[in-house]
This record gives sequence, C-alpha cells and structure tokens, in this order.
Amino acid sequence: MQRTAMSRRSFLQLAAGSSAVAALAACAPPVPAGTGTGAAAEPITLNFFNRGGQFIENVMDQQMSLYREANPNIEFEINAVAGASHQEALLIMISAGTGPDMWFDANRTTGPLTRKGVTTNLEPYFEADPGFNEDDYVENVWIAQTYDGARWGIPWDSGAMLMAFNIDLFDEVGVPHPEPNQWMTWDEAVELAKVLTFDLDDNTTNDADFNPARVRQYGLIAGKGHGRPTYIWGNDAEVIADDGTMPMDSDEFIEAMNWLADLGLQHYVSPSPAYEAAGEISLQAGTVAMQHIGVWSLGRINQSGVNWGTFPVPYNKTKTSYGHYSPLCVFSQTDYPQESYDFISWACLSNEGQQILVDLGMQQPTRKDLREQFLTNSAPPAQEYRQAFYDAFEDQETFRWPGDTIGSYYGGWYQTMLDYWGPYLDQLWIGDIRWEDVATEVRQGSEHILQTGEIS
Amino acid sequence: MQSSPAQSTPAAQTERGLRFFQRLSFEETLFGWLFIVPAVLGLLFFRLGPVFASFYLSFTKYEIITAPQWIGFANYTKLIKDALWLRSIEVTLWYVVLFVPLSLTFAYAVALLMSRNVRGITTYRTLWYLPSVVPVVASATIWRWGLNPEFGPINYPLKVLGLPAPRWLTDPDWIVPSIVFIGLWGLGNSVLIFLASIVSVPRTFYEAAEVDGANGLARFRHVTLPLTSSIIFYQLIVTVINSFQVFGVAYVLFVSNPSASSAGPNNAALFYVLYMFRNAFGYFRNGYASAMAWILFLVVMLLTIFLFYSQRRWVYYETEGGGS
Repeated sequence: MQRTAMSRRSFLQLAAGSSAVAALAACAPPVPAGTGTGAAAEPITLNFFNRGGQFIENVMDQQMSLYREANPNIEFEINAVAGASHQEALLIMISAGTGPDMWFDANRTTGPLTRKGVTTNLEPYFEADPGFNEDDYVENVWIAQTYDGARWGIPWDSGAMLMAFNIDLFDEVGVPHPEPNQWMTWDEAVELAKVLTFDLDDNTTNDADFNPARVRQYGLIAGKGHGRPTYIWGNDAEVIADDGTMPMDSDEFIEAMNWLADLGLQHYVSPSPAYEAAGEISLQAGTVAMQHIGVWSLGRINQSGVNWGTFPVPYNKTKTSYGHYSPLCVFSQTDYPQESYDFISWACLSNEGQQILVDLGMQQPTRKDLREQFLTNSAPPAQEYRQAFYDAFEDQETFRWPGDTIGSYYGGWYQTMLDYWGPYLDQLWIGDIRWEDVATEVRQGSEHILQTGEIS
Repeated sequence: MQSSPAQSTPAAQTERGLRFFQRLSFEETLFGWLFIVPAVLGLLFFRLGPVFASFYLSFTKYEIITAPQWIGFANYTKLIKDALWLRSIEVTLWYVVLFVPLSLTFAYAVALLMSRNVRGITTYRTLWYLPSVVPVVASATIWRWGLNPEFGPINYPLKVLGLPAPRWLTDPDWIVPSIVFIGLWGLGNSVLIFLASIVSVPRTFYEAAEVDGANGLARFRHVTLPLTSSIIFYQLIVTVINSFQVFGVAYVLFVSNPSASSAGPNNAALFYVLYMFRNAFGYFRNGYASAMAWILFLVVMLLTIFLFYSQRRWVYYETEGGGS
C-alpha cells in the first residue's frame, strides 16, 4: 500500500477549503415547504412533541401510522417526555429554536401557553376547513381550549370525570352496586367507603383495632386534583365567581376542602400522605373500591382486567358534574401550520382518527356519530355505566367548569394556580393545617394570578 | 556532498537553525490553535455567549416566544418583593449550612477509614464509591421509597425501637435534612479525592512525629490535617458552589412526582435553582430568571473570594515551606 505524504501547508489548504464548502452548504436555502393538499407529494417532516407514557405513545403511533397511509409524504419526528413536566420541556425546545410543529398539551397548560402566544388560533383553520362542522361535536368539549372566544387546541384525550367502582370488591363484601345515575351524598359515600376499607388484618375503619398506616384496600379516592372543583361546587361554593373573584375563604369552600382532607385523616377511607402505603393504590391495582376518575383512565383500567362500573360524583348540597379534554396544539411559529392542523384535526376530529382514541379507551368521543360505538363497546364498563359519562357532560343542570362564570378556563392560568396551591394543599392533605388557616392568603394569591398571570 | 562556504560557517548555521525553529514554531502554534478551536468556539458560544446573554436578559422582559424588552433594573427590584424568592433563599441557605460542614466532615471521616490498610479495603472503597455513580434521578427515586415514613428501611427500625419516625419528605421541617441525607449518600467522589490526598502524605512525616512522641490524634492534627488542608479547601469551594445549585434531587422528588406538589408542603423544597427554573420555563419569565441567576452568581463568587481570602489562615501548601 502506497502512502502519500501531505505537507502541512496542503493539509491546511484542504481543511480551509472544506470548511468554506461546508459553510456555503449550510447557508443554502432550505427545501421549500409544502402547503397542504396543494403540495401533497412533497415530503414534509412534522415534529410532534408527546407527553404521558407508553400507553399514550402507542395510541399516537397508531394514529400516525394510519395517517401516513393516506399521506405518505408526511414523516413524523417524535420527541416525548413521560412525566408531568411537558411544558418546561416544550419551552426549552422553543428557547433552543427547535420548537415542535405540534404537541400533545394538557388542560392545565393550554391557557398559559395561549396567553403567552405559543399556541395557534385555530378558528381560521376551522372556518377554512370544508370538513369541519360545529354540529358534529358534543357541546362543552372545547371548554379547556377556549380563551378569549377562540379555540387554541383540539380535544384529543379525556372526557367526563366520574366515580368508578370495582364490582368484584363490592361483591366480596356483599354491598349492592351503585346505580349509574345514583347521586350519593358525601355522608353516604363515606359510610359506604368505610365498609370497603380494610387494613392488613382485615379490620374495617369501624373496628377499634383498625390501623390506618397498614391499609390493604381503600374505600374511596376522591379527585383532589382536576376533580376537586366538583366537590367545591357540590357544596355551593365557587372556584371563580362571576365578578372575577375567587372566594376560597367562604364557609362552603372551607368545608369542602376540609372534607376532602378528612377522608384520609379522620375517616381513613382514602389514602393520605400522613399514612403512606407501600404498593400502588388505585382502582386498576385492585386496591381501591371507588375512585374518582376521568375517561382518560378507561383504557388503562381495562388493561388491568378490573371489572368496573360508574356513578356520579358525590355531593353535599348541589349535584354537580365536570369533565374536560386535553388537546393537540399547533405551534404559533411552525413552518407548517396547515399541515400540522391537517394532522391534528384528523387525529382529533375525524371519524377515522377518533375511532382509534375511542377503541383504545383514551377518549369519550367528541363526535356525535361515534356515541353509539362508545356506548356499545364490549369492554367494561357496561353500556349503562358508559352512558353516565355522557350524562355528566351533557346534563346542563349539573355540568360546571372552572371559569364558566367568566367564560375562560381558570382564566387561562390553571398551571400557575396549581403551582401556587400545591404547597398549601400538601399541608392540608397531611393534616398540618386546616383550610381556614390559609384560606384568605390563598384567595389573595389566587386572585392575583387570575388578574395578572403572575405567581409572585 | 559539498557545501558552500556560506552554509558552513557557524554563524550561518545558527541563523538557519533559528529560522527553521521559528518556522516550525509558527506551524506548531497554528496547529495548536487549530486543535483547540473547537474548545474555544464551544467556550465562546456555549459558555460565555449564554453568560453574557443572560446578563443582558436580566434587564429585559423576555418571555421566550417574543423579543426581549428592555426594562432596566425592574427584575432586580421585583425580586426583593418576591416572597417565593425569599423563601427559596431561606431553603437554599438552610441546605448549605447543613450540607457543607456535614458533607466535608463525613467524606473526610470515611476517607480516613478507607485509608487504613485492612483486609478487603478495596471492596470497602468500592462500596463507598458505588452510590456516586448512581444517577440523581435513580437515587432520588430510591430514596423516595427509602424515606417512606411507614415502610421505609430508615423508619422501620426507628419504629421498632419506639423512636420518633419523621415524615421525611412530607414534613416541612424534615425536607431539607432529608435532601442533605440523600446528598451524603452520594459522596463517593469527595471521599475518593480526600482518600487520594490522605494516602499521599509522605510516611516520613508520620515517622518523624512518632519519634517526637506524637500519638494518633496528634499525628492526625499536626500531620494529616495540615498536609491535606489544600484539598479540604478545594473540596470546600466546590461543595459550597454546588450546594447553592441543588436542583435534580428536588425536581425528581417533588416537581416530577405526580403525588407531590411542585415544591413540597410550605414550599419547603423550593430551592433557589428550582424556583429559577420554574420562572424561566414554567412562568415564561426568562429575564426574571436571568436576574436570579446573576444574583446567585454574585453571591457564590463573593463567598468564594471570601474563602480564598480566608485560606491564608488555615491552608498549608507544602511548596511554600510555611506552616499552617
């Protein structure tokens, strides 16, 4: 093998020449973007940012595969985070100049992202879309994506929130199943939960030897996160009043918050951070008899093989129901707004795309023409229990949503409020405070966020 | 081969040689620069660039999606009135006060033990070092379980013995000590550095001390400690700087934990950098977060200068020939 000597000068010349060529190549104009159907043959890569876990990734994979069958020019590049910090990851991507074309957002973050200009106003796209017909969709499904009279995302995941119960655990104790339209009061729910809660020695909370630190099965998990407003309205309190105040220090509000805390602290029927358990505590793990869930859990509960039913969320003074959807959104600075809209509208709104969501148990259909398919699905829960999801959403006598009094979901600042409330709620749930101890302070801080969007 | 008279004179040879070396030196320098160009560019664009950018941004309202707007010192003046910022300082200082002395003492003590020449010492050293290779996410997850008040391996024996069992990660008073404890678990690197300095103390010093009648404690105080003081000083600087920047473990334990709130009860885990991160990527306040970063930088720099100044009184450098 012959070796060719290269002088340093030659090497430097070659290196400099190569660098210049590389620099020129980098400055060359990019391949022009397609413009939807007019440039269907041009290959386009859409960057999609996902959140959630493996289950959600699988759902999206199926949708993307099917979409590509009809749109072979579309490639998807996917980034994902598994935890609850997708907004931070999204903003880091945008800061780095690598923002996605579209992403799976959460009901808690769409407001702040919209207020700050990250999301795209989809109204012009709906108007220009010949396939979009307002009447095709169930009322109220857009609540968590509507700000200032416009929609900034399309519902992809979720639906109504209800109490779900494990039929087998009820049968083991010999307790009658709740009817799907049976509105229990708080007291009735607690009494029922007491006979469904057992410690490791099979004592119930009614037994003197019951050990709240060693519980193998809880009777009731109330929704202390997204579902919490249901109990507040159910006690005739308000989250956001129509005058834009947040009366979190009213007697009714205080009573509702303390009742939620007492489920774990006094009645011992709910898990509490004061008595942490070793294993997973959930309906799907078979360790909870009744749990306040959203439709987004449907597929995961069924995957676990639990036989279950549903009934309305218990109330104290006023029957109340609630539900929300989390959307797919389009980045306001994407190079492919039309293509991104085309995909998310197909994934969320089309019969074909939504069918995947319904079949996999991700979504209570927003399309009216998929209603029967959802109701008659052979997977649990049974049809009458599935109907309860629609009842919760469509009963205008009971349905509420946070911000309905001002026409804006949490005023657009739900995530900021969650960050603000968290440290207070931690203390409440563990029993270090009662709500009246902090109610005035939390009200002032919350109203400040509502008015300014600033946490401090 | 015949050489010309000019080539053969010593002066000419010297001149030619110098030219050769000068040319060689230039090319070598050029190549040297070429080789470090990536590092220099990296330093400029990925380190110094963001540093200067953040200084500029600290005087702006910058919400990522829109262009920065100059607002002068407004971010800095707003910080003073920010109750959460003050809380984050309180939490962080409490951590620094606990962690710095404890970690240095603990790591030094373990290094002293590991410097003993006993059977199986390499195994012990490996075991002590192992936790430091565990990623922070994994260690935080392990300790979320380990510090469980009901069934965790820390509280269980305490309960069996009838001792009080703290709610490590849910009691506001115990959250910072818990994170200090988790930090102490992963001190393998510090132990390793201390160990290297301890075993490198020349035997002759100990022999001389023995001849002078020094017992074990005296040998430690008058030989080991002074001769490793420069490493203690280095570790002190690094630990102080790192202690002000706690983030990962608090983020995993609280922010990314679906069953916890964003900063623990009563914001007991609201560390400075965590709050800075939330401002930047949670609340779109990058200018505000930049101001926080610069205040942190100034505080840490002043502390470091103070420590450097103080070293004259207690750090012994063998090359100076002076005593501590």
